[in-house]
Amino acid sequence: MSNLISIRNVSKVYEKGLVKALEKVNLTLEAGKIYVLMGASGCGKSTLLNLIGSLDTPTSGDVLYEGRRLNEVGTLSTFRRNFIGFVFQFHHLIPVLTLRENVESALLPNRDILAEERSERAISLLDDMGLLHRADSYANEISGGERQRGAIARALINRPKLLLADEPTGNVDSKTARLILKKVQDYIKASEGTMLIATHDPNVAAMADVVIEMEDGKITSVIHNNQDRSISDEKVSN
Amino acid sequence: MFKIIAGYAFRNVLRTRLRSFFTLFSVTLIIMLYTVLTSTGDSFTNQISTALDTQDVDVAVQAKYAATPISSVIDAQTVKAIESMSEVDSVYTLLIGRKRIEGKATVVILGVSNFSAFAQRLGFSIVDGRGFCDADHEVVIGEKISKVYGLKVGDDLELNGGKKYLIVGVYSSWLNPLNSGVVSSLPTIQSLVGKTDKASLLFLKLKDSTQSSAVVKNINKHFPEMRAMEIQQLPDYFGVLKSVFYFSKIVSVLTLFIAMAVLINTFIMAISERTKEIGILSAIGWPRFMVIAIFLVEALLLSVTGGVLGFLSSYPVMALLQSNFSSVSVYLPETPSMAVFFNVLLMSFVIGVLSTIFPAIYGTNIKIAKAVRHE
Repeated sequence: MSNLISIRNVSKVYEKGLVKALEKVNLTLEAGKIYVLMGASGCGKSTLLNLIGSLDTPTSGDVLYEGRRLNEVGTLSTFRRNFIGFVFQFHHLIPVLTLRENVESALLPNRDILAEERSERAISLLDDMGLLHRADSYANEISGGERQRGAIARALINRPKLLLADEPTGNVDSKTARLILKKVQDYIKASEGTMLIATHDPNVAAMADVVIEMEDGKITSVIHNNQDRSISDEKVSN
Repeated sequence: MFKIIAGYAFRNVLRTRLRSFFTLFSVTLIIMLYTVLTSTGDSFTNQISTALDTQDVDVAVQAKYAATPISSVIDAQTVKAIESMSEVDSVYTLLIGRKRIEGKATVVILGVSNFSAFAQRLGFSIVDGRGFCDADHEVVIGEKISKVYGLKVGDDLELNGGKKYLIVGVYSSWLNPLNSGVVSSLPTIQSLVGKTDKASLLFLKLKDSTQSSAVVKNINKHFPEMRAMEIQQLPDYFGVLKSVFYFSKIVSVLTLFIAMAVLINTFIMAISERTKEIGILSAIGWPRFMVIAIFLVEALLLSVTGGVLGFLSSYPVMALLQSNFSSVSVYLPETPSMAVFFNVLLMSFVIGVLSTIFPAIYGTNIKIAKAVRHE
């Protein structure tokens, strides 16, 4: 499999060097796999996610996207839109937009996609996520699990090569968490995309192809899981 | 795309209803004030300028060091000398003063050398009675004075000092400020204001209009106490018109700044509160200009709506002022002009753009990772 992301000696410090969030991290993400980042709070998971997602820049080292540095990928916003999908711990849906508009909003800057196609894609994803009946609802009118599924639909509408999720099940009950993970896993399998999830949840880790453990800004282990990790429909209904 | 952005901006305006209401209210009040003040100023300036343009005279003469026409004094000797210049066809003499109607307001009084010529050139028409003859103590009054004080033909007008004048006519002029005036023969007004044989302004009709410039130079050279000017230059020379003009401009600039301050304050708060939202939109691939566009559309919704509401609300306000404060010496137009409306639209647009663009640029300059974590 080809390398989607290569991280080379990446360090990130804050507060003029007083806080070392990441220290000489090296990591490779291959296309088509699900990665899980595990570690205690403050170990650097979110920082690594932000650097990979081009939301922040490393203090030293390089993040390569299919072999290209960030300054070689063209306009950052276009790159983010076409390459990366984000799911945050809190849904972060725009409160004044309906669920459908929220999902469509990620496609809005893409002038090649007409309004009709944009709407079709949004409706199709909402249907996949079991949210079609909520398409015209606002974020404050739906449950936490529905919001998070809406946020996932927004992240997937651009068909990104890499889906980054920061504690996507951190604020939902276990049943909803399994449902969300099942939806994401199905999508990643179908689209041959890559996913990197930062989490504390061992149930999330169980679905990963690769589990990366972090401690104090460093990667301490990378474990490849060769068993079948598919979440069955039966597990979801339980 | 525009539909979603416009909907997004509109719902954001509604999201903070109270703040949006007070912002809109402030912009409306500011624009209303602007409309009332500039309409008054523009109307006054335009009427004076138009009146001068239609006078069919070529040169105006005023005392050189007089700040206003009322303080200008030209003696009889100078008037005669100018009258005798070979290029001059005829001279209209005007004496301007102010006197208090006994127990009432102070009014402008005008003494004219030739009432019919004066009436024709300043668009005076007698609506009741007749014009005055050169006999002493006969006056015609403007229709506003007639209405406000209930004076009519045949009544006595008592100006300060207790002297009584017979009202022989009521006139109407399209030059609204003059409807609050009292007009009589030059000797009558000279006697009333104690300026015997004096004039305030001379208007010269030349035999050849193309000689205006030469005549002006000639008068300024031979009469160093006088200031002659071509008739088109008169509005600029009148200090009061200059004051009205600058007042109008200062009001415009102040309005712009005050409305901008209100909107900047609103949008600094809005952008600060929505830092996380800015981060999310950037993270999902919105280019910076689109994020800025959201705030711009919101600001334009408030500023242009405020502009239109401010303009519309100036109608009842001007009507109210007109009915309550437009006494004899105060001029107010009845409605704002359409030119002011287009100014208001343009200004509202400029206010909206300028007051949002800098907070929005600043707000979107934050690192996305930091913005997403913002609480």
